[in-house]
Amino acid sequence: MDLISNLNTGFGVALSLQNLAFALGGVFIGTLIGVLPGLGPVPAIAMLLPSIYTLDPTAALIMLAGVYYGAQYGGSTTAILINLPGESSSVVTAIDGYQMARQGRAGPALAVAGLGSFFAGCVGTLVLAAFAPALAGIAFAFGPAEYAALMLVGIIGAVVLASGSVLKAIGMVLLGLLLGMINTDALSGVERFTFDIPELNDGLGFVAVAMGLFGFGEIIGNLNLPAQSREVFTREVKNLWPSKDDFRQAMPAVLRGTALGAVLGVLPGGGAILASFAAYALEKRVSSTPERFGKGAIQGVAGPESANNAAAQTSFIPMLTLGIPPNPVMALMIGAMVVMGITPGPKVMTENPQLFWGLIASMWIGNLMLIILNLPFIGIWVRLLTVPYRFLFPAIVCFCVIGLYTLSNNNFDIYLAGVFAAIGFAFIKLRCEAGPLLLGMVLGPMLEENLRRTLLVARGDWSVIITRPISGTLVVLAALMLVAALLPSVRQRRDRAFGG
Amino acid sequence: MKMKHVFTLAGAVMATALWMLPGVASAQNRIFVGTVAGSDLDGLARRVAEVLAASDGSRWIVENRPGSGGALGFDALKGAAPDGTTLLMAPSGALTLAPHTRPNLKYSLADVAPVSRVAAFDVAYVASAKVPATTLKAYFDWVKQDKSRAIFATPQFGGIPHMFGIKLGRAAGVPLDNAPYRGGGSQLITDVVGGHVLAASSGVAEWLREHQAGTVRILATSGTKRAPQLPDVPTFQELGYKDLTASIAYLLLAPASTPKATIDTISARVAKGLTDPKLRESITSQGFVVDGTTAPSTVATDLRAEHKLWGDLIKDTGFKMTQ
Amino acid sequence: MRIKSQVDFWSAIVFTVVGLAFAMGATNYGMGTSARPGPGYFPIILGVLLAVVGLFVLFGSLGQEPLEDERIVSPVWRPLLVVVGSVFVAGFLLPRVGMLITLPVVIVLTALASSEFRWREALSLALVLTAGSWLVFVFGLKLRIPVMPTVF
Repeated sequence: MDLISNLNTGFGVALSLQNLAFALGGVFIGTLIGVLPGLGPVPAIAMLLPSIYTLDPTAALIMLAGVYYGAQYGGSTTAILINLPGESSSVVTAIDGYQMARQGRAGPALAVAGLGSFFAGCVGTLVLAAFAPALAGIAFAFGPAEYAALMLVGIIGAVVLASGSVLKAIGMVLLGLLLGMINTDALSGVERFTFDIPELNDGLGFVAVAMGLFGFGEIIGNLNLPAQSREVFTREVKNLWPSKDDFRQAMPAVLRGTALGAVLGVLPGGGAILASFAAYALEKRVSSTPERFGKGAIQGVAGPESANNAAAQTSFIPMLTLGIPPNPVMALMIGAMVVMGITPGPKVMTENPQLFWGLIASMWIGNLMLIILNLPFIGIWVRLLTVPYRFLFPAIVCFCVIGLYTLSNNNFDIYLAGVFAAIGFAFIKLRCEAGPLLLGMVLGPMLEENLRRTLLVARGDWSVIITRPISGTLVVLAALMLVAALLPSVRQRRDRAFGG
Repeated sequence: MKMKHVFTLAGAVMATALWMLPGVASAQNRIFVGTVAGSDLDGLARRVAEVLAASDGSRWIVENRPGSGGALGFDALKGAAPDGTTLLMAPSGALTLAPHTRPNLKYSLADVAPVSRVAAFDVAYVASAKVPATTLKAYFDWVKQDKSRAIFATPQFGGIPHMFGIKLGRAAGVPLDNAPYRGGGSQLITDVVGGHVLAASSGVAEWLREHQAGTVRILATSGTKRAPQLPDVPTFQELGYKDLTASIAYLLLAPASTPKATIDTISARVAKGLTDPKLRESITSQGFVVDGTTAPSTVATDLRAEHKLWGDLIKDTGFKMTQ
Repeated sequence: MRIKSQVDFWSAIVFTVVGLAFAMGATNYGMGTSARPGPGYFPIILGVLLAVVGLFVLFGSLGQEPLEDERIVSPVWRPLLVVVGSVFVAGFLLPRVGMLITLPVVIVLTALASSEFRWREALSLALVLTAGSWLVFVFGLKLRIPVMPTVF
């Protein structure tokens, strides 16, 4: 079959010693970047770009790709270990992953994240290889109305993320949406809520806010506990490896997450983050014990992790087949390809089969390397957590501060994280969950922009959102989810009223 | 390893850091860029840095200062010494258009001295393949049939492509509505190709691939000559729109009080570096027209003229930053 | 009517106040119309919604008996002030005096948040972390972080 012979070519290319070395290098650098809080793949890739110009194009792309999904994986590591999501798609992993770490189960959490990601990566690569052109078509069916509807689904889903009071979760999502409106309005250029601070013109930086709310807030919260309770990580470190039970529970979550991620990853902009918490919401809905979510349910790690890695793979589809970069990292890769004389687009598959299939094969190899590289590290990470907290937390703060500075070479992000550290602590005290807020903040601007753009194109006709097939379906889905989320609490009140 | 060893190692590293300090400080030549790493502007800045470094062995680095639509890059330049060691890479629109459209801008043309016009590109007006028109005239005829078709997308609100589109609409007698896409990029292209928004006005570079693939049609470009990458696409001038020329240039700028001699030297070095055919080829393939040879004083004059042009348009249309 | 849940009560206050603040602030920006929403349209709606949610939470938090496990335990101030304070110090110092001075200061300062603080430990930690950070970020990853003072 054509696919097999293509894959053959691909593996022939990918398994050359040089390309293997580049894959390893890329994955290693990527993981390092992902683990260091605040650092993202973009600045690092930009640093590497000059040397890339002198490399063989296939090798260069293999390395860049490795950096990309290496960083994804590294971001999950810190999310689980110290409640610091490195990327927006790791926010969801932090919710249950960190709780698992607190229960001494950091090892299984990391392992499940890694294995789930590997499985999803394999499937994602396969999907990429077999269905790339077909899936590319999906991206074009999504216009502003569809994106708006999708964001709406995501926002309602963010409510589902919370394990406490639904009403307060809704409040947090709304708060997040409002915070997302602190920026220069996309459709009119008006600066909103920026108080003349130029750094706010592009909105509240996700990393700074996440670090403040999740990372620093958690540290302050921990320090509020008596000294003995802080060392809870070290107390009962159970096995490093997931139990048979864990595997049994995680497997279905991995499958579902992979499917979701593979499809959602194709959508330019927002595919990965939507995938990860669509997976979380799905797991919670499908589970027979939803109350365990938020307290260390392994499906809450397995599902989202698989989803975001599958999405990371399929997000290459728009780039390779259409030349459309769905995120800044891909944009860099396209830039590199163009510079090297390769025009990404539908013809890449036929004109540069070595490159295309070599890249796909090396993605699989890269995923394999990731898991080989990171599984042994699990032991080291868990050992690292046993360092007494009084050494650990200043180190975390130190790395975070540096990471924050490197985001835009600006100390503003550091100040922002400081402000949100205080806010984060307040929320911990008020038992308001930060997850929904953060997700509202990320999705809000996209929802608003797309919704207003929809209205612009439709000349003010709101019904367009419901009459178009895809967006209509999504809106109905969102409504159902909202009802499903509120129903339990409505029933509770009824029971209380009738039962007394 | 034992704590003692860790401390010794740490001490050694610190000593190295301190020892390296003076070396690092003296070689601190920087080019600021007002976007995140990886953007077109950033890529070009890095090439310029390489060219400058190669020309006399000095060290040049690029420092990204993203934020506020590029304004933070200008901020960074303000504090710099006017001695040719600190430069800024910025698009021409930031100096010629933004001061008219953004009320709280804290920089202006007077704060900078142009060094080199590194590369430029035209604005392209593009229609989706789903539009049954293959020429600009046919496009406007088609739009006139149904007013809801009079929309074009742009990578941001208030930039040169946006203003250009408005100018075009006025010149053609078909007022066009704008749909901005924050940050441009993928969603803009996908929506146009997918037919959700049927036309767009943005830099030529973004559309080269799609045009060749046939998913969009570049109806015209805004230069005085045809874009080198698109020999078959007419310019607006050719089509009869005599005043409809615009270009977006990526400029190398120095602080205003930098001595003319220093500026000229740097400009010469950039110009020389840009003559390298491989470099030219790779920049051109990205959608730019390489320059570097325009004299700094000419660049400055051109900028002032453009500044006035946009100012007049803004006054004419009564354009304001609110809906 | 007494406060049944302090936690919910104060959450409600936050929601209501912040919601109203956003809504009021948003009136400065054009509302536009339903057909063509302006920059203020969504902030006002969301702000009002948030305030409404706040009121609901408020009612839910009132009741007969205060619930013990929903009381707000008064925070220990030291960690909060020290951690937030040292983050601000870091933001202030880093671009001015560079990382070789800022990091040790911030690390020691942060360590003060813990009741188990000891000078020797903090200083050794500062040395190791500063050296390591320089090695990894500046030397290794070649990131543009100010290393030395620019102020003098």
